[in-house]
Amino acid sequence: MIIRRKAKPNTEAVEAALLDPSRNLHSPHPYKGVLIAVEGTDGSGKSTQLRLAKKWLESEGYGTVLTEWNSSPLVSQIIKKGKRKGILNNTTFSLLHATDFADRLNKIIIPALKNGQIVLADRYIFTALARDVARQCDREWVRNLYAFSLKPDGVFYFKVPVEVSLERISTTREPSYYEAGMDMKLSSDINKSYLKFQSLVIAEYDEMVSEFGFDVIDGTLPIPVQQKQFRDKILPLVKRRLA
Amino acid sequence: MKQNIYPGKLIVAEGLDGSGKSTCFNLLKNWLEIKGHGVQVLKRKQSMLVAETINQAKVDHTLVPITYSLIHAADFSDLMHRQIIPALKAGFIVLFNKYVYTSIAKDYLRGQNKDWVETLYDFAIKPDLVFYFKLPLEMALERLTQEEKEKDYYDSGMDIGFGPNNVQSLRNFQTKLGEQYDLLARLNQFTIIDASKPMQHQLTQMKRILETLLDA
Repeated sequence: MIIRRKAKPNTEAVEAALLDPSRNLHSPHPYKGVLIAVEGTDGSGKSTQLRLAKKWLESEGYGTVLTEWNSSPLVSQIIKKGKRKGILNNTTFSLLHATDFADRLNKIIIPALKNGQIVLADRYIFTALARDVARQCDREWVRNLYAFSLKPDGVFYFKVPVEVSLERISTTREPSYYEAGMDMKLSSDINKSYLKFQSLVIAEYDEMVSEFGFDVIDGTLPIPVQQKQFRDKILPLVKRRLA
Repeated sequence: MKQNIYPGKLIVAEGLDGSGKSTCFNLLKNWLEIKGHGVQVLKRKQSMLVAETINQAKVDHTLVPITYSLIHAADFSDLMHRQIIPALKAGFIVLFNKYVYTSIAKDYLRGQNKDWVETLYDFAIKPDLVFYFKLPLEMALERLTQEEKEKDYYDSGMDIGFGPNNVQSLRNFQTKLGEQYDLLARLNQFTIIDASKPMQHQLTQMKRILETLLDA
């Protein structure tokens, strides 16, 4: 193993990560900026909608930061390796994604919110809450796991039927092993497995609509129509914090 | 924690660094193998998937308390599901040096809520036996400072400001850690091994307890 030598303590990040009782899933975050999250299955159109909203917010003069699920330099490579080899147990899968999220929370999300920027999260902890429970992790255990996170100002759930989700991703690729929940042995056919597994994920999302107060947007509507609804709902959230 | 439902046994050693745990475990492994048992000695940060990343991140100082906690839990989960459980299923005796009790104690000292950390490690298998190598603090600190290799930034608690320099921080951190071990030992009925006694004395005691467990 080759270890690169570099040693510079990051005291600000340490401070940010120490437990602050004002930070939890059910009360508003204490920072100046705005945190917007989109959720939904693959092919729900959430990333398209989020990127369109980003352009619009920037054209209105707001500073934005986009952060994607599983993109931290710390662990995203391990997750990719584990997925490629098909060796991730459901608990390990869950803990690695939580590590990825915690790393981005401290290095990207909180610093941007402190700066008064608008953070646009393409998938947030609800992705983990839906997927990990669909993978048979205990519901309360996963909620405890993410107790360190921040409540977003708005969570937008782009809802499409599972068949639409499969149809849309199939135009460019086959579902991946874990997206299809092949590790759950629901079916040996990847498309059938995808439909079964993602139905479980959708059922979890549906449960969370009232638990966490999601705004639901119909992902089968024309793109500009969804974008209009999305912008109409984002605007007051932004104005409330960044007036 | 989950009950061990497998034919193998999970035996754990907890205690401050320098208390003689690993030496004892290596000798016990030998003794058990001579008696005909299959033995695996494991410790944290040995997972095939995550360990290397932790070592690199500790050098780079990129871990904050929450990521420190979660990445160690991920490492342990990989070990649990791909090494510990398969070994127990196959009937091995697993000797685990510093188990989740160490993780729980260290995370708590890093500022995490104790209930949160305990729930985090709910997926772990409850050991059949925990030996707590108890050493008077001064003796543990003396042994630690005699070690050739200096403790790193995290192991000495420098990341959470336990002291102005490595030596002072290490003393404070290990003192607190010792208190946490004492508490965990009372709550979880650890078997206490007096680590200030000669090694032979400790081994005799451990062998006697192990024989009872294995004959049961």
